[in-house]
Amino acid sequence: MSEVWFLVSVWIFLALVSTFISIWLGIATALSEIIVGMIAQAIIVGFFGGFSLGASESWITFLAGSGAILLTFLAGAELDPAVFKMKWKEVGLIGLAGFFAPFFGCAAVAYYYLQWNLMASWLCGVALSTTSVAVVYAVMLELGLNRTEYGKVVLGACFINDLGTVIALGLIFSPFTIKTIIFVLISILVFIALPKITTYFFRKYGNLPAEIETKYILLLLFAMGALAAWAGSEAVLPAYIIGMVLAGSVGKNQAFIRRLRTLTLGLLTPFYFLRAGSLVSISALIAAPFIFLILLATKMVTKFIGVYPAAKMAKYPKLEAIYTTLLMSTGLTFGTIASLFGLTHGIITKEQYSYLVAAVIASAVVPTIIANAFYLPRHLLHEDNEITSKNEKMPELLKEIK
Amino acid sequence: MIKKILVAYDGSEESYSAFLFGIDIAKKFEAELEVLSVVRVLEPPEEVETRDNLERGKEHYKKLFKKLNQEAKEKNIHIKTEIALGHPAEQIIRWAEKNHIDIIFLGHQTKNTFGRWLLGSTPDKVVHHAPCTVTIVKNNHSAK
Repeated sequence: MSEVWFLVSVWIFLALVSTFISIWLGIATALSEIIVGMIAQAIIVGFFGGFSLGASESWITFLAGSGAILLTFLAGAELDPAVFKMKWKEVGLIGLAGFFAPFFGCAAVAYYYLQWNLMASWLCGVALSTTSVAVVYAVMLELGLNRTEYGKVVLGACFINDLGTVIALGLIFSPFTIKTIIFVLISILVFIALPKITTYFFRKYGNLPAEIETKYILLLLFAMGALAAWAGSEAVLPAYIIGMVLAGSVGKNQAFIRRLRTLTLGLLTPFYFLRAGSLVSISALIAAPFIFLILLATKMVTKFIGVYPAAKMAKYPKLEAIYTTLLMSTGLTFGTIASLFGLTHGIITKEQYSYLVAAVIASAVVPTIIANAFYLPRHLLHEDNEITSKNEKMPELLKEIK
Repeated sequence: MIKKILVAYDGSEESYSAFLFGIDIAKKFEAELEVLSVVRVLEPPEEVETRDNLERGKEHYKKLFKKLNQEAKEKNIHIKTEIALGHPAEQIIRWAEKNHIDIIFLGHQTKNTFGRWLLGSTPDKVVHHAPCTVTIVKNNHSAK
């Protein structure tokens, strides 16, 4: 048992170091955890040959997996249901284009140009089809664009894009059997019934002690995750959709969401991102740096091919269309989740995983810099006329701040 | 004539000195005093963490503003407090442009040398890009 406590101390120490780096440099904790995980593993292998960070230990896998499930749930719960009620055609069009174009484009480049096998190529497509709701959300908040109709459509499109990614990850790599049908049917029933049952449960038992709501949500997530895994699918698929369907109820319970965030960000996700980083092969990246650059460029070009025409069809002027395209070319959380899924299920090799994670990290940074430097639609910055719904969570935050 | 003053406040002793200096000048010129705090968004913004960060930042500054309001009240000055999100220098400059600020007061920055070396300091950027006069206040100033 002492080995377990020693190892967990090492991981928590690395998580603490990552957090300090994040604060000092102003970078996302997830990014610093991935990088610290990469460096720590390289140092241990270099100086203490035969040792490792223990990323394949079952309890570390469990903590990391739980981190991915809860993070995905919370990401889904951040959805503002109001964005779908208005302009749903534009939201759907841009969101689906933002998913399908890079999905097929990156898979094609991996298959025909990089000569990856078929399943590895599909996984490449999934990992690089992602967008980052958080990047778009933060940029919109900084500029005040989230209060405009334009900002709401882009945020809604990002949720649709990520939903496409999660569904593709959950269904493409699982064998289609009777288990898949059972999983899909039960999931649909649960997703339909959940908002009412959960609202009733929270109303009746929500104020009892001993974190009864947390246990209820964890039960849901782990049980649906178990069903997904039994059907050969991925546990983050039901977690994201549960988050989305409960966004209007549980998502509005700020005190509960904050407690869940503390558990997730304080304990679980450090294991997830450190583990994701520790599995990256730095030597593979040094040996063939152009592969990751090709993957990054392919993601950005295919996002452009998909999102730009869709934004133009939605009658966006050129500047807004390019800005939307670049913002939707970002993505870290879901890209990492898809890549790690591929590695742990033997779909991609460690080298391919390393190229994908590097491309995913770069895609979280490069497009935003280009977008804000050259394509910012400045004329929208002072548009201040469109706070439409009292139920909107994202504008509420800004309304209070402003 | 100074009509509108902006104090950039991050909760540090240095920025508190800038606030006290701002109060002195506001009294002297009978100017409006706005206090701006910026909740920094970590780059690249990440799912869940970003929202958590913003909510905690907002609460943090709301608590600090109570102290500033109290201080201003004792000096018979009415202040307006605001919270923005994003990169501090960018947001201070944007705020000054948007609200036609005449002068910005900032505390000098002493902490986080490595981060400052890598990213550049907030006062440096504001001094070089602000649309108005910028004054860096040393932290030995106290209101009289």
